[in-house]
Amino acid sequence: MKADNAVQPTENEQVRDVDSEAAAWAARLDARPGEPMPDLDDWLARDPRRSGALLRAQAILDALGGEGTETGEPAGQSRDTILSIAMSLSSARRWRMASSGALATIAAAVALFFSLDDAGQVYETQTGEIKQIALADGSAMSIDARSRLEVDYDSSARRIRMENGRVIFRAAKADPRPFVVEVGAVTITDIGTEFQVFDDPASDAIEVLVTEGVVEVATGSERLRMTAGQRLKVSRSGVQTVHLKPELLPTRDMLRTTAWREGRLELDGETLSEAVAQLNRTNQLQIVIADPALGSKELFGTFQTSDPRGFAQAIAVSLDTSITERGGVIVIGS
Amino acid sequence: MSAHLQDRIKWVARYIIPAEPQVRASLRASGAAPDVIDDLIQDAYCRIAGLADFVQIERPAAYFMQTVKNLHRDRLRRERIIRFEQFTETTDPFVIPFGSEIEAEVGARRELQMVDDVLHSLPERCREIFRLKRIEGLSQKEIARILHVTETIVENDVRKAVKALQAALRGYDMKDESGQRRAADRERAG
Repeated sequence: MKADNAVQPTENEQVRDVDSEAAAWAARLDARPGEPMPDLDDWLARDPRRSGALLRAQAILDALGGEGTETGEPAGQSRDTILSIAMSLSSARRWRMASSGALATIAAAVALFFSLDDAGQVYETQTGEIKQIALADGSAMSIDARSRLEVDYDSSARRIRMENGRVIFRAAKADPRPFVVEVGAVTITDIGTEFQVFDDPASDAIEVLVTEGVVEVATGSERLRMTAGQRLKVSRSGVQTVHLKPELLPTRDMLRTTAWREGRLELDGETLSEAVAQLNRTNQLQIVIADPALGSKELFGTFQTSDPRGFAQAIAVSLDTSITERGGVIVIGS
Repeated sequence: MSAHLQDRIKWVARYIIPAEPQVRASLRASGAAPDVIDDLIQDAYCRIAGLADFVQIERPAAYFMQTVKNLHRDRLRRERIIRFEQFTETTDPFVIPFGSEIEAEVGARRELQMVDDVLHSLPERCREIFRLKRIEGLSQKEIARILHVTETIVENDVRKAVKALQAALRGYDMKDESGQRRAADRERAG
């Protein structure tokens, strides 16, 4: 074993020396299993980092020599079968693709508007468009793709009529007028807070999520208060079959649910179908799932909402399926 | 060697080593220098060596990634080279994007490929030693007797093989980035 270098080595050299020594110890431990090695204890004691290096070297040796010893199956055969399903895209390349230009795309997609007069102003976003709106009173809206809403401020109220889509509202607290969002038969009155309203086109439900403060939701004859972390699904028509009862969302899930604002799609067990529906809202390049069995697969991780191609490629690799792209449509599982 | 330690080694071989190329790639993507990457990886293995109960970790690869990410962050703070993009991060470079099953499967394939490459690159005798280890499950002592070489020679070949896979892990996914690597070398030389 080499002695510690007297000359100040670079970090890289330090790491390599430790690795090299750890490789020697791993080989020796493998040569003489069970033998006491006081020299090794000394070596480990002199630098806390060496225990990690030794563990890694031993695991590397296990990976090199441990295979097949337990199962006893003819090694060649089984390994070749697995190797023939080689990954088409290295993980490194995939992530480079996912991140390259993603920031630029988001920057281009997220336009910042300042509106001075908010009487009867209509905001509409197309597929692939996210808008950040600063309203005259200091309130703000993040509007997801495929949304439409009308801002109608007058002396008595700050009124917003939402026709469809998903919006995060941050109401300025200083203004004495109530901040009211109307969607279908549902009215959400803000009491100084931030909340998200999602009018899901795929269902009759309207989802309200309070990320900060308190709101009051009224529909039909029912009325209730929601506080930060609560999520509520109400019928768009205002006809409610059960009592309104909000669920409490862990902070992590709350952040995930509003991650679209930052151009991120965060998945924690959502299905491929759900993820694709989200991406298709945000992108011109549409994704189609050809194999219905794939649609129910659960996914984990973070993706750029502006990069459906990178998403599809990651899915193809992880679900071991193929993708084709033609005419502005990506087909998964063709 | 205690059974517990053996379990830990197997666990690392199965879940952590295969994730190493991706973790390194993520660090590179976030702009870490090669020296720093080696250092962070070594730190992370130290944490893993010191873990009280590794079996509790449900997604080992994601845990590994998270550990490295935290270490990287601490380091940036310490060194005050806080760059804007690292804190307005879109978290994606540091995410293992799969559920535990798929993650383990992808990792296992990657590891097989790597192990295969390394074994093929070794000299004949070294390959034979590992063939006997893998298939016959022989000890170094038994292998030395069969091959009519000293135990020291076998131990030495085993050490070389470990070093070869260490090196492969360090540069595995740089294969298709040779241009970038040359640029980095030039930068350091100049």
